[in-house]
Amino acid sequence: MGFGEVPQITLSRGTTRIRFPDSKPPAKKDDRDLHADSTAFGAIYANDLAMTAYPTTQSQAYPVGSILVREKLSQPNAARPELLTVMIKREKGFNPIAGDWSFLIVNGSGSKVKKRTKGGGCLSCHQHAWANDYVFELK
Amino acid sequence: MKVHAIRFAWFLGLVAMTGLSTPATSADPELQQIAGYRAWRRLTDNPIAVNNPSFAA
Repeated sequence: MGFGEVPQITLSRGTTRIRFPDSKPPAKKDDRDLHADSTAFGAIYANDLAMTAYPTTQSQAYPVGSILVREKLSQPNAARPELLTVMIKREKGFNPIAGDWSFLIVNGSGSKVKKRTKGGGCLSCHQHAWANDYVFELK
Repeated sequence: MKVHAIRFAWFLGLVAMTGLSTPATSADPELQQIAGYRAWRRLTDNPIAVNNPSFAA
């Protein structure tokens, strides 16, 4: 997916959908293992600090300490998540190419960090939301 | 000397019992930060479907 191809975020039949125009499998094997499904369901949670910036006008930076947690659910109404994907806003200079966000993939129970990155597959998508401090504004 | 040995054994037993009764907690500060996240504000009432493998972690 090129930088200019912006994902479409729509709301239909009670489900918010993020559709990418050209989805390609990640190059690394461990990424393929973590991102095996082509479609996933989930809910997103934000801590109080993140809520001071979401959802607002574009270009507002999230304060340090903001945390967003997205659950990966096997089904829309699944009781427990399979995985958690997490964004934590760190101090200025921590990760300049990604708005100082730290990206984590955590197991479903929240007891183990499976992957910790400053970029990778997380940033390849979130870079499209750079104007909104790398956070997609949902509809 | 025997009294000291008994006191030391009692102390060791107390430490062991305390360790066994203490629930395991993660030392990872990032995991501690997201503990209880479901009590946070949920951004959407509806589930989100994503078709991109890179985002479908």
